[in-house]
Amino acid sequence: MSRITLRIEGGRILCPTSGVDAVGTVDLAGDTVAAVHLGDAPPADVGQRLDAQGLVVAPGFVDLHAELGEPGYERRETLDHALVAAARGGFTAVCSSAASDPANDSAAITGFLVRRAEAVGGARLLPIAALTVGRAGERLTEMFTLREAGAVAFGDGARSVADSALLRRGMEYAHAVGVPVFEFPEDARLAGKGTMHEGPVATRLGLKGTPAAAEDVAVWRAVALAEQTGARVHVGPISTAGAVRALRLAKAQGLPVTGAVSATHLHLTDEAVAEGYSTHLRLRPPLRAQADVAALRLALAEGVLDAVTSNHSPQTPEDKALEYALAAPGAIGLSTALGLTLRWAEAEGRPLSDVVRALATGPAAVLGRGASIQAGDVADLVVFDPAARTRVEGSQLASKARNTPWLGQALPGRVHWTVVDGKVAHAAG
Amino acid sequence: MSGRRHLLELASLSADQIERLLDLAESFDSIARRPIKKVPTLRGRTVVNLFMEASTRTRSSFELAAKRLSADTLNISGGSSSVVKGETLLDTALNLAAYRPDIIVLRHRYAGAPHLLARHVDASIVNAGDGAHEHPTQGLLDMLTIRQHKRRIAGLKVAIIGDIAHSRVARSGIVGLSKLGAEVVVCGPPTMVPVGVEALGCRATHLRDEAVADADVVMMLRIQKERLAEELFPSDREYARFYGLNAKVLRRARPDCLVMHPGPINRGVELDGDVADGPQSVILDQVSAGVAVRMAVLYHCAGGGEEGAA
Repeated sequence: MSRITLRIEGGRILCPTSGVDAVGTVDLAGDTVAAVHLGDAPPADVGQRLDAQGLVVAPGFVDLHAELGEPGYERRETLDHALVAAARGGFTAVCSSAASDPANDSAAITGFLVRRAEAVGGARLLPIAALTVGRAGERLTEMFTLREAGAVAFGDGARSVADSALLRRGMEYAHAVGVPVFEFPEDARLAGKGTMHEGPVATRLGLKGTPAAAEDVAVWRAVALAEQTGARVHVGPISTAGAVRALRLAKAQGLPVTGAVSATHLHLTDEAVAEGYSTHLRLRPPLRAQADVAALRLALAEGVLDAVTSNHSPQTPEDKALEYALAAPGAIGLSTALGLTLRWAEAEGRPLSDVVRALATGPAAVLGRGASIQAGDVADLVVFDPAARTRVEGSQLASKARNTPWLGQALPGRVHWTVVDGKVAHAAG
Repeated sequence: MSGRRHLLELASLSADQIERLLDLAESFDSIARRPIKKVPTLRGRTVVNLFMEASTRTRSSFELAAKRLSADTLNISGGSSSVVKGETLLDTALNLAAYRPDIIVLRHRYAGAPHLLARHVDASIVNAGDGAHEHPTQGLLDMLTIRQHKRRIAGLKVAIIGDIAHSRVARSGIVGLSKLGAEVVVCGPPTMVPVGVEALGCRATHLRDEAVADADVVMMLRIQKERLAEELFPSDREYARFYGLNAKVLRRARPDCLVMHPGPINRGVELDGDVADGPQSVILDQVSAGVAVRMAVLYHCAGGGEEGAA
């Protein structure tokens, strides 16, 4: 019987996969969950103890959409910052977007990322490799080779594959490799030079808008190709009621389509941009109308949306301190995803298990992985207080970047510990 | 910065505030008719005209307005400045602010640029046109011109015809006129009338003749050649026939209908030459109203009360 290296005692164990929602103790032996004891735990030779009384113990969160800065954009973000920010936010695994410079379209880059991340510690890095070489949308990447190097999915970062025939072939090929294709749903031509949602607010502000149809068209295309090929496709982050409708229909038909929503998009609408053209609200996808936000909130509750993502998009202050139309889009999100999901759950009267589904089991399932706390499972866990409130302070953000619309706001939740591979990757001060 | 008076947009002004600016402009208008077209009102104050977008009319109008108030002026145009060397707008403005100007008049191709300056620069900011958002002094001078000819604005039917979607003149016009009680109708091909424009305070139609019918004022907007490349309309020829203003179409309006245009005019496209030069045209009155309005705005932003000109 192996020694218990870490014992997490007295917390509310919340594991949607096993159906457990009860106070108990989780024992880890090295990088594996050794046992889950409901009620009292038997005495044992324990290395480290964490007192989780009054806290929730859940499978570690998994983030599907994040830009981690390396290689190429180290001025915005580095793995040292991002993986620590992720762990502080309760994430035990973060997918890196292929939109690095150079793009992650080779085993060399994928391998680099995996090795760099191992050296940093913090959350695990799950690389998403590009579907097309250079993300240029012309030729497919060497997907088997990339899978071998560690890629968990294929997608061209925040860029849709314009050529539908190529997307089809890419999906078929990825299907054989056994991983999903991640499609950022935005028809580039329809989106045009829009810098926010096309609607009355954009009209009032005199800004070019991106119509909802630009996203809907791309989501419907992905659904049709999933039907055609039987291949798994994940669309995200999505922002429109139309995309939600397409996802709902696809799932009703049992098609292998999944979707994710950015935590911020569960709360803010395009009206937020009207407050002085704040560039922190210039996002991709853009913030949309009230009806879209309502549809997204409902879809998450129904399970039509599989995951909440941080959509972590770091930008330098110089790239944000510009005229709105010139400012780089994006906001960081690893630190606020839990708080924003808790806020959604509180407002909609959803149980805490929905939060864990949205942040852990749902996204893990998109990748074909599990996220659970059962004997034999990989020891990736988060221990958090859902009732506490945390103010988003610039000085407390581990990310190198500071571009978040939530600065200064108090959000629900506080992560006490994040355990990755059986080791404490983050302990709140 | 707080404590500073800015003019960023008509949308954040009340009808009362707009009326008072128009009244102020009326009092400054009389100065243009004197032999000595100058008052010492803003003597010793500094006005910077930061025009990042090409402009003849608006720029010379603001320059003249500042000089007639005896202010010291500094004119900077985007093409010739450090911006070409890659300096950001904010850095340019902060550098200028080091000279402690009282007012920075900004024209910029991006909406929200004056708001950015108002947040970070310690000077009063006057928006001389920001992208497709607003051109508040144009809106004011259009209203002043109408008021001078019609004695009122409330209850008038005003038609604004052209590329509404890309027009800051249209937006300021709709907002200002509707606040003062005019009935505004905008008209253009569907590709040029933006989503939700009614929320700004107007009706929208794609039928020119309907827009012009019984109008008290018809305001024509310039069609830009770039829009042709964007496939917003097929040709000048078609545009002129179905959305342009000529003498025959003008007869559908009221007999004393005013014809307005912010300039410069594409003669033969949105406006026929004979109408532009005809008896109902007040286009040149708009230009002189412009100087008076800008004097009023500069005076107001520099902290002037509502008593009027010296």
